[in-house]
Amino acid sequence: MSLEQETKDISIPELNVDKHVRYFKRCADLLPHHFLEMEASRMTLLQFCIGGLDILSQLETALSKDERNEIIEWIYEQQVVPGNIDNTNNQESNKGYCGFRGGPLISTITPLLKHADADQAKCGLNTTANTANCANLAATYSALATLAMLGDDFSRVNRKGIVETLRTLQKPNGSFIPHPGAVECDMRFLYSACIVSYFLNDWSGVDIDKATDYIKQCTRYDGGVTQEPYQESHGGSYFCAIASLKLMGKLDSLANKRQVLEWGLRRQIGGFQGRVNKPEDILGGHEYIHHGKAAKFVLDCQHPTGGIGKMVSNHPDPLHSYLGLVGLSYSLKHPQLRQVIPHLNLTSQTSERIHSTSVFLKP
Amino acid sequence: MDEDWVPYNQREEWKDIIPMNLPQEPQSVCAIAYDEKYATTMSYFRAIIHKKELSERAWEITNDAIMLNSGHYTAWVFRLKLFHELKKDGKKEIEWLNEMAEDHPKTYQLWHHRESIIKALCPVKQDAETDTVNPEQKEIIAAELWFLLEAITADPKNFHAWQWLVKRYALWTQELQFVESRINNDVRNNSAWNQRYFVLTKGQGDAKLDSDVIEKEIEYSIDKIRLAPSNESPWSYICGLLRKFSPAHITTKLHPIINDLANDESAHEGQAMPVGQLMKKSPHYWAFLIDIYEIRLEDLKLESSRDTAEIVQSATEACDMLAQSIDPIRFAYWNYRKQAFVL
Repeated sequence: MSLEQETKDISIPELNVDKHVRYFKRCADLLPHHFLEMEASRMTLLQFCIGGLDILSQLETALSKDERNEIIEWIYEQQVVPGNIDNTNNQESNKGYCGFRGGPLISTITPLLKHADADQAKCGLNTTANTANCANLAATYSALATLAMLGDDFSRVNRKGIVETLRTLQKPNGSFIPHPGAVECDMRFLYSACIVSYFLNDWSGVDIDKATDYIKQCTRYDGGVTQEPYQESHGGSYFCAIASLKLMGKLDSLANKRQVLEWGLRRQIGGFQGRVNKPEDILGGHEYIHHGKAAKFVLDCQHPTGGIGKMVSNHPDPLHSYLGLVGLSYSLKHPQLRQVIPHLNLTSQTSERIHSTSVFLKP
Repeated sequence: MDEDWVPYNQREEWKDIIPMNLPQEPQSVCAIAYDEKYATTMSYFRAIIHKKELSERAWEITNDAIMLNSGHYTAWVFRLKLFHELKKDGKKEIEWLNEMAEDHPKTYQLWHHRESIIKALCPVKQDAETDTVNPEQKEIIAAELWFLLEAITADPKNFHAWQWLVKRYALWTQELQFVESRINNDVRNNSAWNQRYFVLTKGQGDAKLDSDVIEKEIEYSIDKIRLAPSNESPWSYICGLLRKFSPAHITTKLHPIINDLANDESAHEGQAMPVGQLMKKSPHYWAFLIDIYEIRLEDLKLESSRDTAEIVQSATEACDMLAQSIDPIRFAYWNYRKQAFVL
């Protein structure tokens, strides 16, 4: 049955494009107090907001060129570039600390360079490197993805710093930690490392064999994939793992591809249990999904004031609003919806553009 | 705001610190609204972390920074560093974490920090199998297990929270008992089934299982499938276990028992239908049969075409059954599987 037929047979609500555009614009500007614990992850929230506008084909109309440029500047202000740790003669480099921060929560270093005043100068902070001035792998990924969406050409991205940092963040078991000193290491950061390497067109920061081994260790007896070995299978880690294999060119190393595909398909109960994302597509499973029911579920979760909640009548948040649209981009034919390339988590328009404009990717 | 809170800029012992205020950002990008208390505390925290000051007051401000923003990953890293440098009391730190966990149960960093503290309190000797911890440490480990258990009772599906503890201190026997009690309590608790697999393989990728263990697991899973044939968990469990450790058992042992169940006319207490009828309504039963037919065709590849035709017939019927009545949401997938038999 074709996509059109399938969605025709079920009565589904309208997609409130205008309200969602206003929701993403609002969040890209200011978020309420209860998002405080996300302050270290502002870059990721930004990625969802800009990504949502991109899927809705409204990025260029909802934000003026000046507004887009201001956001690009803000992103670059979060970049930590190679240098020496502390403002001393100590030659120890800040390898491991480069990339992008989630926001200026910890370090005001880059803004201080611009807005230095007497008091702040006394702190001796006019330096580029300090262990407190630390990038985060997830934020680095979000920053590059958002720059790509906003039409930046990556010309100010310090590729060498990021690649060297990746090398120090990979653990002996193949997984990645997000920043030096972190205790958590799991599939989310492995995907971040892969997609960042893809954007930079430089894989020398990732030991691909070890990373592939880690994914194999996390593939569970039921065909699902886990964040860390032996845990319970989860939709989020499933996406990260399959997308990473695709990016590394290692999909064929999955021994039990059918079980993996079936695990993903079994998650559909209307909408999907776990996250609404479609690694099944990478495995060739796109055509087996019941798109009518998937689309209906997401559309039912729309909030009257814009945005999409985790479940019907839940309050919206940028994460589920974005992921909901990603799901719809596969399951609903709508003139304003751009389709997302699953393993890149970017619209095909953005992907095409970076391949002709990015200083790392253009031929 | 709590009444006895003294803002950092009014504290005598912080007078020498020049706070690092965030300059007004020229544009607002996913800015998050916060109050004066947060702004001031973070300014002092920023200053102390940039000074890399390893002191008692630094230790205290990490408490406030984390309390105000538990997702502040740098604050957690700094606190762990201070814990080791200042040789802080691990038991007190666990008490502090107990309180934090009540307000911030979903903060990843909190659980990882806890793990680091317990590891510091109860180091294990390398290459030693078990019993490398003293009685006092044993008590800490038992208390930790109990705490984690309590902490997740609201969400009984997060067993992996203590996998590291079970593995590091070899608590396999008691964990298996616990897992069984959870499965008895709710046979659909997939987290418990996953934990059973973890315990059985002792969290080793290269584990080996004896055939009596394997046969016991078949028996155990069948028992649970009989209780609720549409429950995905035991099906995935036993099929996955056999695929890895003894594929031959799938056709020689598991298949005959599944066939018996499908023809079982007895009913469980409280079930309206006989087991056999419930089996035939389960998508997992039909999917299992399709896999079996596929294996048998593979085995028969060069043999007589009469057997082949019969299997193809049964397989396509099973695919139709799933696509049309048992599992129509995945009709496209079952039709695709059917094509493979017809061609």
